[in-house]
Amino acid sequence: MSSEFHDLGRFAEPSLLILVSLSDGPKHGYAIMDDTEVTAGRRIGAGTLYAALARLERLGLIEPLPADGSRRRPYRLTAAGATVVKTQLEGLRRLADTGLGRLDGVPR
Amino acid sequence: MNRLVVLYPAAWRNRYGDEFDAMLVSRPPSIGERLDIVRGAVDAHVHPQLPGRERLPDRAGIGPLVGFAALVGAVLLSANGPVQFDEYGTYRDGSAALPAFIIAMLLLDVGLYRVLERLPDEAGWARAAGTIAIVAGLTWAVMPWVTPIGLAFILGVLGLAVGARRAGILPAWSLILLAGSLAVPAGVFAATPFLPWFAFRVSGLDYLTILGPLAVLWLVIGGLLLRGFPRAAPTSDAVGADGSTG
Repeated sequence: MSSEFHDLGRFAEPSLLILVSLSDGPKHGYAIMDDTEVTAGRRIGAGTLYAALARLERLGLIEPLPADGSRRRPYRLTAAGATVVKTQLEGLRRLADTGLGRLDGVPR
Repeated sequence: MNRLVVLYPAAWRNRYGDEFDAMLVSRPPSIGERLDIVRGAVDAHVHPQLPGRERLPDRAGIGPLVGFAALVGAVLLSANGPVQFDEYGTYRDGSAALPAFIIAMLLLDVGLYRVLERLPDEAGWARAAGTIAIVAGLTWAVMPWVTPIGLAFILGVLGLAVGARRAGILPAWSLILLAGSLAVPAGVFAATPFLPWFAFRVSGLDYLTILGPLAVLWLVIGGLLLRGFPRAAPTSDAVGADGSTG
């Protein structure tokens, strides 16, 4: 699944941001855009957001919930999605630790 | 619904259109975001993600595209043929273009046959129209001056296209494009009984008015085959069941 995630190409980064955004509960598209802007300082365009959502849904990493009264459809993380996002974030943490350690001159 | 949403494929709109539109209403896109949406629409066409809508690319689409080149060659040969004189004035002898035109029609027929093959069994009238188009096309290639055969070819193509659209294997835009481009030569053919036969020859309308718009047919059929049609709906009554109503 992780390799499929990397195969997302230019949608890999927005997909990770979406998965992180859904980590604390279901959100609809608008809320995901707002959340990623606040947490990552990165605004995902609507076209990119839905291209990434469609891919994540096809990979079974997220799943849609019934639309609420305002036509908005929330999405939530699946178990597979939670595993992938955890793996990706742990990889990023190792990378960050290594990079920061080298900058500080302390091997980690 | 936001005008940008119509850029997406019908299946995509059926699945995401409502929530996507709701989001754009809540958060009107800036110019940069509009470009992002256009980019997303192109991606949705090129890389459809929805299950059950996988496309079946057909390399036979190369046939009509090569046929298009042959058609252009036929037009150039025809337009540059030797000048002849008769009691009606001067004209270009385009007989040298006939082999290229026959090849072009043969290759187009390959594409039309591949579309016809994808029609469901229930689309009997559309299959009949397609068969007429294929036979009339070849006949007209050999006798391009017999305009009723050309008219039968065009009407057959339109019947096939309408049937393919009803079966959900032809997008609405291509049907509109074909109908618009074929209307011109069809109108010219229909008008021939009321006009002197040499009128088209002298004015060169045969090249520009008939073959020009017709060239769209080669490009659309070839392009659609290479891009791949969605799988056919099970019955002709199932219009839109697969999300192809748009």
